[in-house]
Amino acid sequence: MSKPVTSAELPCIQCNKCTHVCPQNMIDPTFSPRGYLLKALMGEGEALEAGPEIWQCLTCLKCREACPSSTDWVGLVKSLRQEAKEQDQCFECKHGRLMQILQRMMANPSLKQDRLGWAEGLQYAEQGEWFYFTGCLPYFDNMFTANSHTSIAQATLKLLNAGGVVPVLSNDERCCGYECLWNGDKETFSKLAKLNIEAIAATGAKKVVTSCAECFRTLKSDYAEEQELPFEVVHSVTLIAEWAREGKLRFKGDAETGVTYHDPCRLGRYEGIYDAPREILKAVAGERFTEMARIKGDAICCGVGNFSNCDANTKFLQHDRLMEAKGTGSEVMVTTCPKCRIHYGCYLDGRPIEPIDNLVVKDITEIAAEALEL
Amino acid sequence: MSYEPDILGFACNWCGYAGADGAGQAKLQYPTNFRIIRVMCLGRVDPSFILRAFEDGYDGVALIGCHIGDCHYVSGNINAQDVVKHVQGILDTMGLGRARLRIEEVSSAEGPVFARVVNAFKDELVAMGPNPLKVAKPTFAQEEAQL
Repeated sequence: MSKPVTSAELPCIQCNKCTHVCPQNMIDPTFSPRGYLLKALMGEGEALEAGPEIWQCLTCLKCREACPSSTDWVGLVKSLRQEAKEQDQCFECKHGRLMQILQRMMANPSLKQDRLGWAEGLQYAEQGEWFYFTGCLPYFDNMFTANSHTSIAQATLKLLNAGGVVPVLSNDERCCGYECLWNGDKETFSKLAKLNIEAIAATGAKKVVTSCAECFRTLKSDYAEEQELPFEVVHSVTLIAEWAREGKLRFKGDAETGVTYHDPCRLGRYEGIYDAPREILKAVAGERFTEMARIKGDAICCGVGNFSNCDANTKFLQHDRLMEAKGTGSEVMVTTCPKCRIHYGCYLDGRPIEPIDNLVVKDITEIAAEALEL
Repeated sequence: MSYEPDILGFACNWCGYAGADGAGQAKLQYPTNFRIIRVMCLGRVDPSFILRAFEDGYDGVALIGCHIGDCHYVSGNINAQDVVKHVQGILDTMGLGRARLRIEEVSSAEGPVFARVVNAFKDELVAMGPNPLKVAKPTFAQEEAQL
């Protein structure tokens, strides 16, 4: 892969807006995308490759929102990580590379999973038009114990059933490969993409629903780069909002607790879905839905990108965001990405900088399923 | 040729490893495919170590440490039990089955118990069959042909 190091490929004008909005720079002033871009423009790309900086980037795309010349800093980070991986300079990812090991195991075609235990008592099919891509949720229950994660899958399935859809669930579905891709392991990602596309195509599904912002982004955009997709990918929020508008789903709309919404980067800045989750929250919580100060494209990151960085900086970012949520008077912070929920849940369950009482982080499908009027 | 499972053992320095030593000194038989990694305490064993062993094709993983209450670091073996419980859940979801991972309590004086525990685990693994993620090892003839 060729490094984009010429000024034609990197149209950076060194205005420093990216660094100004960067959440990592907010906590650690030595982290400067502008400074690294200057190095790349000066042809010192190799120095970047070997350094720890490229693993510090949260890939949250806030820099791209602020950039007047559309410089693809995150794209540069992604390609540098792939190159570092090829030269075996890979950074040790958090949790002892647990996510990467899990994904490499799943990339083995001879694995026969047994992952549908959570769907007992709910309606699902083996063949059909709709496919529900659960992602790693059944695994997370035993990996990140602060919250239950299959409850998101159960809530999504309940909502789909209430909307009259009986989706396909498959034991042959694997991890989408998001962490592999963003940590430079393109080889494993390609294997997973091939296996998943085959597994979905085998069920005859034409529409794939995901309840995870990262799965959504990966399936919709990154798989499409690998090969042409024989199906269409939608996030559950788009579907639920549409059904609520049509009157297919009705919500009670009398929430007892205040609710606020955190935009995950993959659904928001990467895929541009800002309004659908807000529509649902307005239907579910009515007047009790309040916005934080930094929303939509301006929302800050949950502090961990692709499990490649989790340190003291992360804790400060998470504390900042959770206090902001608390400041709106809400008791529930809703997100549409299970990973955001994992990271915030980890912070609340672990050792917060100072205790944050009466605040829980929930997935949008959970509170929508609770408020469903049957 | 009969199937011999590859087993990885994490043995704590104070109990499990001393137990293995005792079994050796007493000349007790236990499977030669049981490979031991000595750790200071089972509390050191991270979920990623266990999963990596399965990724690399081990058929079973055993954690062998002190009896509850005997840990030299107070609660290392209790933490390890928690880790094992969760990794067993992951193995179930993955379709490998929770029985491929176990935690045993063997004190430094229990050489015979060590040999018995390892033999019993091996027999169970033989009944279960090989790890589906196992990469076929090249035969001697294939290896020679490569040279």
